[in-house]
Order: sequence, then C-alpha cells, then structure tokens
Amino acid sequence: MNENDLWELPKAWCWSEVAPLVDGISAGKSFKCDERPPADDEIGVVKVSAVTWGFYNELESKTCTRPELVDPELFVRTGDFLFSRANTIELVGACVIADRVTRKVMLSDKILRFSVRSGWDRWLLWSLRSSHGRAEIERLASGNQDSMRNIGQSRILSIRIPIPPQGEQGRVVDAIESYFSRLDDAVTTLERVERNLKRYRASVLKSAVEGRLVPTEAALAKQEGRTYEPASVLLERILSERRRRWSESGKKAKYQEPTPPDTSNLPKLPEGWCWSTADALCDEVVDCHNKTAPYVEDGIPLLRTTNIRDGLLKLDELRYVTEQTYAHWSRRCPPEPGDVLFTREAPMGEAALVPAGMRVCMGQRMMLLRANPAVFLPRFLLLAVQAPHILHYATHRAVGSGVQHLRVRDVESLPIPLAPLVEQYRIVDEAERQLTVNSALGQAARLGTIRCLRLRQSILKWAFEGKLADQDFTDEPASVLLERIKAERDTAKPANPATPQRKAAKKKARA
Amino acid sequence: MSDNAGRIVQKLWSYCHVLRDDGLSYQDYLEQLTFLLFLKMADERAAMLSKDQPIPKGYRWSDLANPQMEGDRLEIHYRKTLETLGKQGGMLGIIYRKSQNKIQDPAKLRRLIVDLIGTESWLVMSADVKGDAYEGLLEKNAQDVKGGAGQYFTPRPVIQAMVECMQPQPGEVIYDPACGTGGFLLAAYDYIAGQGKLDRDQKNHLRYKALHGVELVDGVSRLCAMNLFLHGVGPDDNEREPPIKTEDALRNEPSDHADVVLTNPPFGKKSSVTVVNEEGDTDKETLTYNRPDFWVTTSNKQLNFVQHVKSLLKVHGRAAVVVPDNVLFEGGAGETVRRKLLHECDVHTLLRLPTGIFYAQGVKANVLFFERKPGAAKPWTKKVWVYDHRTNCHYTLKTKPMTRANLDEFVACYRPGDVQNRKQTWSEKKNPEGRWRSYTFDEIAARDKCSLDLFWLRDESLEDSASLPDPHILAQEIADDLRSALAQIEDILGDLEQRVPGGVNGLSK
Repeated sequence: MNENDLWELPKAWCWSEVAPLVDGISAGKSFKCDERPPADDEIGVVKVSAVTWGFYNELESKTCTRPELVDPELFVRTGDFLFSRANTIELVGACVIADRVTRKVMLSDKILRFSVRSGWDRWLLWSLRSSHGRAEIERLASGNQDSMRNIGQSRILSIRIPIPPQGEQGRVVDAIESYFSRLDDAVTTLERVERNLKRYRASVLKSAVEGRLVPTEAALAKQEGRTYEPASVLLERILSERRRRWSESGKKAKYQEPTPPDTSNLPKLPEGWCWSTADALCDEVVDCHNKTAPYVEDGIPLLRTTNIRDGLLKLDELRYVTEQTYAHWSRRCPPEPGDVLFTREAPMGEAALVPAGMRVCMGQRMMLLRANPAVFLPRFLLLAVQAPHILHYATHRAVGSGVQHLRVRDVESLPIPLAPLVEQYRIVDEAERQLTVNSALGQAARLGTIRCLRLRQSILKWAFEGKLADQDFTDEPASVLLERIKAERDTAKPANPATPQRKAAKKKARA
Repeated sequence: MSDNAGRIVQKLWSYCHVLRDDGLSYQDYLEQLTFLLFLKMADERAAMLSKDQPIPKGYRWSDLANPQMEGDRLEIHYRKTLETLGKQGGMLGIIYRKSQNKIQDPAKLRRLIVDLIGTESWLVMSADVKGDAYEGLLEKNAQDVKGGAGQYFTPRPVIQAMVECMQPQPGEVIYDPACGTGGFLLAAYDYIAGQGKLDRDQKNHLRYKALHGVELVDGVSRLCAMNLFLHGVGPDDNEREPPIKTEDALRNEPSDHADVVLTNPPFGKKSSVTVVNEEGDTDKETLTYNRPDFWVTTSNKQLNFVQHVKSLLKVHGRAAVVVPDNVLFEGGAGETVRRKLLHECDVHTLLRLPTGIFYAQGVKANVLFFERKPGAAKPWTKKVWVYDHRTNCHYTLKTKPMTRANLDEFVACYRPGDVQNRKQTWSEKKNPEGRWRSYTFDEIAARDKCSLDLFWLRDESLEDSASLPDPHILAQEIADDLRSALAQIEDILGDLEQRVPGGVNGLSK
C-alpha cells in the first residue's frame, strides 16, 4: 500500500493522522522478570501476548522479581487503550481496550498506553484493526520482512485514519459490534459443526461395521422367506481357501491356523455376522520396507503417513522414487489397486485404498492389507479398519514410550467383523454415501468459517467508507472537530520534555 | 372427551381432509370454518336470547343457509357477505376484514354450510370441545411448514410453565403484543379461571377486560379472535371492544399499560407477509422504529419488542418474554438494551430453552422474566437466576416432544410466589451438573458486552467420550447448528442488503 491509497470519504468525514485523537502515549519499562505468571500477591508485567489476541488477557504476564521497582502508575487499569509496538509483522500494532482487570500487572516497555480522546477509543481500536489500519502499521514499522518489527510513537501518531462526525462514529462502532458479535456466534457454531461432523463420521463407521447401518441379510432373508450365506460359512470358505493357497505355495513351514479374536471386549454383532481378524480375512498382510526411501524430483509417488487421512489418499506434497527404488521397496508385495494401506504409526489407524491408474510406493510406518473381493470387499475392509473399536484396540495394544505405534502382529490381529457378502455391498454403498456428504459438509463448514473471517474485514471496510451507518446532516463535520482539537492544543502548555521532537533534537546535538 | 365431543372433532377433521384434497391449506380451511361458524353462532345466540343480531340484515346465517342458495348464486352471496362483514367494526371487523372465499366448488361450500355447521348446535357445546378442536386445527396449521405458520405457535409446555411462574391474578390486565393465535392469552385465562371461585365482577373482568392481544397479520388475528371467542373470551357482539387489535405493536408508544405481559415475538427480521401500503404498493415492513420511549434505534425486531414490553408494563408490572439468543449476546444496540434493562428493571430469571421444540427450525430461544421498576440511580437487578434447559437436552417435534413435566424442575426452582427463597441447585464442587444457578449484577455487568449468554454445563456432545451417539442424533445436532449459523448469517445479510447503494429497496445511500 502506498501513501496515496486513500479512498473517498463521505462529505462530513475527513482523513487525519491518529495524533488529534491521542492526547498522550506512555510506555512501560523493561523489568527483570520470572517467566511465570504471578501468584496472587505478586506484581505482574504484561507480556505482548496479553494484548495480541483481541482482548486483554491479564493471565499472560510475567512476574516482577524486583518489588522495589514496582511503579503503580504503570498498572493496567480498566479502560486502558493498550498497543503492542514490537512483534512480527502480522502481530505488531495489536491493540485492546482493557477490561476484566482484576490483577496488578504493569506495562512493559513493549506495550504502550494511549490516552485517547473521550468517546473515540473504540473508533481508534477498530481503525487500527481494519486492513487499512494494518497496512499503515506495516508501512510505518521499522525492520524488514522477516525480522521483528517496531513502530515508534511518532510514527504511530502519523498513522492516517478516516474521521467521521462524532455522532456518527458512535453509530458506526455500535453497528460493527452488532455485526461482529453475530458473526462470532456463527463462527463458533460452524466450528462446533466441524467437530460434530468428525464424531458423526465415527458414528457412521461404527454403525456400518456393527451391522446397524442397513437392514441385515438375516432380517431380509427372514422377511422374504429365503436362505442366505451367513458370515460364519463365508469365513469357513475364506479359511479353507487360505489353507489351500498355503499348501500350493510350496512353503515348507507348518500351516498356522489364524487365531480367532478375543471378542470379550468387542461390540455385539447382529445375526449372520461373526468376528475375525485381518490376518484371517486378508490374502496379504504385508509390512512396509523399514527404511527411508531416497527421494527424487520425479518418478513413482511415495506415500507417507501424511498422505493418508480420513479414509482418503491426499496427494499433496508427494515425494517420488525411482523405478529401482520402487522395485526394491515393494519387493515383498507391490501395491495393487484395491489394496488397503493402514498406518501403524505417526499417526496410527489411518487408512486409504490404493487407487487404480497409478503405481504407488509404500513409505514407512504403514502396512498393506489385500482382500479378495469375491469374499471380502476391500471397501468394507477400509471401513472396518477405521471404525472406533479399532482405535480402542490399537490404543490398548500400542507400544512405545515416545510415539505410540503398532507392531506387525498387532495389525495382523486387528479384530475385523465379517458380514454376508451381499450385505457388505449394501453397507459400503450407504456408508460411502453418508461419508461423502459428511466430507462435503465439513469442507463447506470450513469454507464458511473462512468466509466469515473475510466478512469481518469486509464489514470493517464498509465501516470506514461510511457505508455501515446512516449519515445525519445535522452532525458537526469532522473537520470542525479537528480544528477545535488543534486550537485546544495550541493554547495548551508547551510540549513536555519527552516529545519526540526534543529527543530528535538531543540526538542531533550529540551526533 | 365425551362421545359428542369426539364426534364433533371427527367431523371437523373429516371436512378438513375433503377440502385439503381440493387444495385448501389448513389455514384456508380454518378461515372458512371461522367465517361460517361465527355467523351460525351469532344466529343461535339471537334465537336463544330473543335479541337482534349484530350481523347486517341480508347477510346472516339464515340467508346463507337458505335452501335456494346454491351453485353460483351461493358463491356470489358468500363473497358479498364476507366483503360486507369485513367492513364492520368491532369483533366482526377482526373476523372478517380482508376475508376471501377459498372454496372453489359451491357444492362443497354448501355441504360445509348445511352438513358441517348447520346441523350442530354450537352455542351450547362446551367451550372445551369447540376450543380444543379449533386449537387442534391451529396446531396442525403450525406444523404445515410451507405455510410458515409455525412462527405463530409457541410450544404448549413452555406457555404453561411461563403462566404458572407469572401467576396472573383476577383483576389484572394481561397483554400479549405479539399474540399470534392467542396461546398465552388463553393459558392465562385458564389459569385465572382455574384458581377457584371468581365472583361475578371478576368473571366479567376476566371475560371482557383482562386479556389484550395485538397481532400484525390479519389472517392470524382473525384466528386468534375466533380461538378466544370459542373459549368464551371476549364479546359476542359489537357492544364491547374485541380483545384483539390488528396492527403493528411496535409502531407507537403504548397508550394502555399491563400488569402482566406474556409474549413470544416472532423470530427473524421480517414476517412472512409483505405489508401493502395505502398506495397499494408492497412495502417492506418497517424494521426501525424511532420511538421516544425506546433506549436505542435498531432494526432488530426482538430487541424492539423487549423495549416495547418494558414500556407496555405498569411500574411493578411483570413480563415473561421469549427471546432468541441474539438478544442475549448481540453487541451494539443489544448491549445498550441489556444494560438499560438490567438497570431500569429487575431482570430476575432466564430460562434457556432446548432446540427442537419450535416449528420454526433452528431456533435457539430463551424466556426472560423481568419486572418494571420506578426510576432510580442504582440498577434494580441484583441477581439473575438462570435455568439451563438446553445443554444436553434433546427433543424433536415428532419422536421426542417436550412435555410440561420436563419443565417441572424449572418451575420448582423458580418458586412462584416465593422467589425470595430460591436456592441454586448448582454448586462448583458438589453438583457441577446443576441446572439452576444465580449470577450477581456485578458479574454480569463486567462481562464482555454485558452478555446474558450464560452457560456453565459441560456439553456432552463435544466430549470425545467412549459413548458415541447414534448417527441420527449427531446428524440432528449438526442440522440444528447449521440452521442456526444460517439464520445468523441471513440476519446479517438482511441488514447489509438494506445498505447496498441504490439497491434492494431503491434506497439511495
């Protein structure tokens, strides 16, 4: 923003520097402090974070260790206009009007207190928070882009803001506060919606894999007077096929019948279902290659645990590996479309399907689960490993004092419910329908929240263009007010010793 | 219900269904029923008391029910009747103003006249039967989402609890400045009538002088007047002022004052009806009222009703007003209203209502109880007692409706008639789940924007607890929240649209 980016104001308004509205600025001092909040009878010193987040937070303070240096003049009082003069570019110039002051906390040298002309403090506050105000602060603060920025008192006073007639400014501020309080309510509600959507997702998954999402095959068969293949029979088929594959593979070791799960702590399943394990139900349960693959600029996508979230592959920030790396890393079992990838660690319990049409290489901390769709749908497996009971199971079995993780045998023994095949299809269709709607809603809620934040700035923009409240032609124009203020000051006592001009003169003299 | 009562209700409903098949809404049916019933009852009354009826000659029941009156002739006569009666004053005016025939088929109209209304003796029928049947139809109308009539219907359990807390007394003047179909007025009537033997003067007062309603929309005030009429409230004829006025309650400073105000102002910014002005142009309803007795000028209708109610009360009068959450937390004008209200009135109780109980979806509402006090330097409110019946309370209109019993604990905590002995059920250590808690004036005045949006209970729906609610419960909560967020944004949008230069209303700014 350059010096000439000032927009046209309504007739009775005019542009001004902040100076006429601010009768004085005082700073705190730099105190030696303990980096902890003060106890009840101790004196605190304000941290910059106390004024940075939109309201005065007296708990964000350090403890003054030199009680003899305490200056009661520096205590924050209710109604004080506080301004943070040093911080990163995004946060410098944050200001608040202090309320809920219950503790004795002193201003630090980084926090300025403005003595604002009566009735104008909220106007000044919102001006400095508008995008124009922020741009002015950025323009006038010293330092460069990446460093800590500082804005000195004389520069603060030179910030340009629009000034309306006195009567109108009260109306504008009331309107701002009315809009913002409603927006805040909407945003809080949308944030709650996002949280609830996550729980809704978990609830749908739970219903899906516990047979409560759609009518069961058992119920339908009864209704229609026919038979059906219950999961127990399906499981037998799966297990005998498993035995047969083992014997035909020519492996010398003795065949291990998979251990059935301990169902004592597992949810009840409906008629026609039964519990089993990943090991029993999947044709393959394969661990990743436990070494970091070497990345290259381009090649075959390497999936890391960050690429697997909420049942989907997120293909942003992909790394790539060469053909040789891929061949070596995937030698145990190259991933095929329909395989389920399941993370063991950092974080554990995320899953996604390998898509068709692209080769992918498994990164670390994940395993591959392959189901035979003729008996066990990969999309059903995907739902099953994301269900809440898996998280409970995993949390119990996870090891590691630092980062919790599952071992290969924990993943093999994950308890997976098995439903009749026909029912699996119905469940998958309904669950995917609800989950995609859920996901779209979550996205909409997130966007809604972002838009609300932008609406705040847009409303502020209108406020300072004079569009938020009605003009009243009987209001005294701002220019007249500013003249009056100038006259008052000219007839007041000469400048006090601490004015910037005197300091500058001193500096010059010394140089 | 007696056999006869059951039969009447059945009959009214069956004719309703017949006409619905012809495309009439519940509202339409109710109106036509009202027009015919009133005529018939006026006729019965004249016969019983050997008095002349207030209905102009030629437009009476006997004229309408005449066997010669059929087909097109009937249709034309009926229309003329409605038009003529609509020009009368008093009770007739309220019932018939801007009335229209909606029954396309004269044969069906004739059946209604002869079979449904004509064959019964309505005057001697008990008020309960008539009243309950009519109210049943009103409720069905409220449920008919398309008609938007839901905004006129406050849930019965809430009305009953409010009346029990307010304890209206014989001889008191009771006002509802947004009376809708008259739920509060009738509940107050029942309460007073049920208190025990009233002497003749008290009964007289109760029937003719105690209850007053104001309603903006003609169609609704007619249903209200009829509803009251069928319950035995208000005059039969034009000898006295009807209890209902059709006007914008907010337009003027009140000329009358009330001992008791019970009301549920409509939610949202605009009513569902566009107001037609004198020139016949459609007007957006005035949203801002510049009244000398108001503390602040705002387009927020509910804030304006709060200001109006306070003005409507006699000094030491008491009010119970249903308000949305915005009244409790909104900044700007809202803050001013709250601070003034807490100062000039004793705002003693706040009931936070659950979602899922109103026909208007997505509504988050509360009941605010306060008493108007004389002017004073210090604020009158010392303590605000809050009952949270929202956190972790789930109701739905169909499957899990709220009942009066659900509000028993609230009414018990309120201690009507004995409010000085209230005790908190909440206690930080011993009972953090207690729903009844008091806040001092100082605590509230110190809150950001003096917000009365007070909550302290843990919201279970936000815990990552082991018990995960079923999907349909979570989905309902998400839907409620989205509706609420939507309503809030639309409220903001309504205000912003008013300010678009040269825009929506042709306003130039």
